[in-house]
Amino acid sequence: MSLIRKAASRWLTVMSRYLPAPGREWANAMLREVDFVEGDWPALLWTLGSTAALCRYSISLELGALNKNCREQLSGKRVARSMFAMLGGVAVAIIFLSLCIATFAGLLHGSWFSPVQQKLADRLLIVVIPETAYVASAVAFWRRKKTFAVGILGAGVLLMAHAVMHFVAHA
Amino acid sequence: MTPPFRLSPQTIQVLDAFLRTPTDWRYGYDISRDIGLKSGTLSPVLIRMAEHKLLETRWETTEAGKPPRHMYRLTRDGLRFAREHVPSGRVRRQRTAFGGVKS
Repeated sequence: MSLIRKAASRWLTVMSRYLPAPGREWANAMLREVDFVEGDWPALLWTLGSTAALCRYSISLELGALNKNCREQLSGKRVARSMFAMLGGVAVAIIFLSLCIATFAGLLHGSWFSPVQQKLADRLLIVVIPETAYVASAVAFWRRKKTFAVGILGAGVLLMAHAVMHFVAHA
Repeated sequence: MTPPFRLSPQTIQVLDAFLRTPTDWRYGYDISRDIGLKSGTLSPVLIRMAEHKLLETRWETTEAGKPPRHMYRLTRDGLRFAREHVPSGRVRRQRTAFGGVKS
């Protein structure tokens, strides 16, 4: 076998390794034919043509897979499931904040605090504790239930924005 | 049968080549030589036809010690499809080795 033919065969062999599975069989089919092409230069041309065809084929396979994946990602059922999880995260955050506010109101009702202490208790119970809990739970859920964690974080961001505006307005 | 893909002149040529010997298994290079199509044009046509189940494929060892070759033949659907879409009269013509056409 001449050097040109060897190089052509080697090229197709190496290329077939990087193709998606369905393309590999076709690459092998074209590779086998190289041995039967009459003449070294025609064999090289056969290889180049096959390479171009295989590139086009693998691109079309990749695009097809990408298209299918996008359609799956955007399917109504999947979007609904994500929305449900995210709203669940927001609901949990709201329930936790309500518990914090109820605790704060209970403490105020007992009137154990001086006005300065009340202000500190207000910031601690209504902002610092919920925000810390939100960040901690979002970190804990991030890998397993990302959309749920996003819901909690979203609620946390809203609460923080609200608190900042409140403190700026009442400073 | 509605064509499941675009019927280019090259696809018609390949169908025509298969129609000449509809029951025989054929090699890619032989078809290429027969109809004068380069591998870059022939291979996508063969892949498309096989994907649409118009062509069946198999590996066959032709010589001992040599790796098997990929062979192609029209399926029943492929045969019907080819008969419907290859213009009549075309099958009888045959290309010569240098690209000319003889009847």
